[in-house]
Amino acid sequence: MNVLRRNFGSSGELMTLKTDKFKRNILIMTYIVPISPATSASDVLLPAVLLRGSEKYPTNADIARRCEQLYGASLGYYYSYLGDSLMINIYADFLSDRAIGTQDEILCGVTELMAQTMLAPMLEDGDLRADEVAKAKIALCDSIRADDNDTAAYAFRRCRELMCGNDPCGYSLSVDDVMRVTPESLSARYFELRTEGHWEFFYVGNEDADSVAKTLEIYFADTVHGAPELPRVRAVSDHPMRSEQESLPVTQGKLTMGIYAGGITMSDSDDYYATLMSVEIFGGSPISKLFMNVRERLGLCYYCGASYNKQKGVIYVSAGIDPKDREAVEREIYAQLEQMKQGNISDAELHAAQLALINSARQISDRPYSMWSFCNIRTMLGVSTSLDHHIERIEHVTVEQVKRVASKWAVGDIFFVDAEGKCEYEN
Amino acid sequence: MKTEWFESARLNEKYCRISLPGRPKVYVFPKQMSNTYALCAVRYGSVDRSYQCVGGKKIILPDGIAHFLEHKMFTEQDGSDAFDIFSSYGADANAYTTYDRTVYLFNCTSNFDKSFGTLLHMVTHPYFTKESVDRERGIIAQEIGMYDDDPDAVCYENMLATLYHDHPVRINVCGTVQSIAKITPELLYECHRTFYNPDNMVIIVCGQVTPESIIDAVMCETGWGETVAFERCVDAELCGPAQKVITRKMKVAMPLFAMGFKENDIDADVLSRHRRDITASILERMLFSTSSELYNELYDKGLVTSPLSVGRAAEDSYAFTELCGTAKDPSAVCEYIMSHIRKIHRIGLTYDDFVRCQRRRLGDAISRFDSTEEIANALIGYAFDELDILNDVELVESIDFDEVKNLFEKMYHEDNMAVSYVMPLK
Repeated sequence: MNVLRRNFGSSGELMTLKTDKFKRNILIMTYIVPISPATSASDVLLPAVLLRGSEKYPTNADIARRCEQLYGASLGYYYSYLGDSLMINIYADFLSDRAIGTQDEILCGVTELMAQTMLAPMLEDGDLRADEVAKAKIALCDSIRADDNDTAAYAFRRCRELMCGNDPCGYSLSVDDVMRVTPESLSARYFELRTEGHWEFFYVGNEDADSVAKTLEIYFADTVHGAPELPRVRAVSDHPMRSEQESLPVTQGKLTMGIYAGGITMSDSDDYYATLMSVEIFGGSPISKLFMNVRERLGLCYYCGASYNKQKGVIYVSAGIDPKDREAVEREIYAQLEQMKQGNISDAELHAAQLALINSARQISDRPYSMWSFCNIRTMLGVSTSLDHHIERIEHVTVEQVKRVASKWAVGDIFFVDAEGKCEYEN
Repeated sequence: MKTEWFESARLNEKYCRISLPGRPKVYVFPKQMSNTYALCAVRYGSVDRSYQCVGGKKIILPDGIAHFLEHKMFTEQDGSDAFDIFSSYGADANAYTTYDRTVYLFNCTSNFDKSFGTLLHMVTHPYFTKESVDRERGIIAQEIGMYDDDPDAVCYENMLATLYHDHPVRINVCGTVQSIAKITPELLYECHRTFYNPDNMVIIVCGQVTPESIIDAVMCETGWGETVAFERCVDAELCGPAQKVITRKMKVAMPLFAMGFKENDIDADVLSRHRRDITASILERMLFSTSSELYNELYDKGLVTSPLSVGRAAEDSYAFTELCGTAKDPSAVCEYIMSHIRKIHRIGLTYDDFVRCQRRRLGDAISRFDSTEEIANALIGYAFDELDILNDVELVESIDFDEVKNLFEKMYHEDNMAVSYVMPLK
């Protein structure tokens, strides 16, 4: 995919992927900040407060109504960890003018709305509105608490905290940290990001780069851009294995096992592509070693699979199991890990994994968000954004390469949610 | 053979419906995407727990058998697994069962013909043994356990159990550990013979394909069963909720609620039902979306901190709207919602809200054609009801404010509402 990079205004940066495939287009504004217990709560809270109202659209209802007028445009934000960095994305997702039969109405409308929320917030005595900050804090705390309703996600988070405990990404946003944020501290963080932060824009859609840049110039001309903050990508540091467990009143046990991927993180190296293949063979699909053995052959679970954190070089194995089977499940996971290390991989397994990864890669160009995600991260890390190159590298991975990278895998920390059995009352 | 094309110049989209002798109806939606998405949908879901063949007696099935059958259809006669075959062609295959359908699907970017042949062979060649059925019971029991721990799923299912007295929509799609214990290979074969017959299935393909290649493949597959005349023994339940409130205590950090509004005037005409569905979607946005007066009052009062989730399901024997969310005091939220609904009954809906929400609904009707997956799955309901998906844009525009107001009067009342809560253990 050919990402066109250009500037707008005095120092604005825009990347575009032009495509006529879609009726809906996206415009995403991204900034990267380090993960830190001192600032991360503010960094996550900030877009939530900004999206509550602006000078022209003072309330959340005004913003939502404007989105409806724009044929159901959506404006929102989400954040994710990228190695030891926090990536904040403000996104607009909207129908193209061409799909509606209008000219410059929708793209201009959503850009103006995004600019309003990011650049013209409602202030009280120079600070963000205290009542909106208070409500956004409560909302974020509720969302942090609600995340723990999902025991599989809880087990995963706890395992990540153990595996990455010595690194910034071992930090999880806490209710206490959020409650410590004040309107004053949040406003100070906002003005710091306005002057020193680096905001990048990414557009996927049918408009050409010049046209999008011209629109951004109108609404984001005054934005001052600081030096770019590159994502901090570094493999997690090795430490002695720990195993923790917690008993909860649930029916099914949840096992998450962290595995060091030999220090391999996203790059254009042979080892990186071999690791992608290895994780796919190990636990990436319904014909993977884990699924075929833990679930299909032994019938020990409904799901058992592996995922790869490419920015931290960690593989996580997750399974939902009957607690009495924990030992058997772990034994089988270790057995399959040993198969990987020994290179006991059939041609059929290698071929199927290659086809699955190639199938996924080819589909990236069928979804605007996938196109953005694939290109944005690779551009930041200086890795090729060519899908053909990516596919070619996967096609050339051999069993020997898979064996070589898997031989360096080592089980790290394990977290287990033990099921006490359910305790429930009805009326 | 008969091929009918449906086209919309405004949307710049077209697709065809092909009728073939002794085969399911086939829908081909050409789309210039890298991937092609294909599915075979059977009009057989968890609500079909009993049926009667012409001249035969009524058969009562164990709960969860449609879902169990879906799991077992991946086993091939030679002992291999269809997932392996799809994977060897680079296709990503899956299946799902809902209240009203079972769907087998795959998407791929190469080797389409081989994967499509595998899909057709798989749905037409059941193979069950006692051993494989017994092993599957253990896996599905784990799946049931997983949903038992999922507070969202529990809250939603309890809401349905409070809305309905006897209708099978109140029962979990997977059934229970006890009900699946009664499933045998013989019962699975019988369900396959009855429900997986060509008149009760549709095939949908969306992507870079031509109708000709699809027709050839469907005709080449010779395993299609005979047409079976049967009657579903599911009656619409046209009365108030079975229970007003249900509360379950679980391991949750934040309480959950799910309000259900049951509809007791289900139209037999599919087009009328579809029109009502679209009208209801405009109404939902007017009442509950982030632009609504209600949501913003709830947020400002600190009663909710995230948007309400709204959905509606409507088939020929049931129709309901659900309104879900998390809240520290969910009963206060539900009381506030009901008081707001009472207020709307007094003062009426607002025309400006209608215009904006209709425009947004129009945007939804246009933008759904960006994904082969979304198109193919959306087409299932239209194919079952023989409706044209491309007509929705005009249909949305034809709905007027009075229709929305009338529907509000019918749908939202205290006496057809029930609520389910999931509360923390302590």
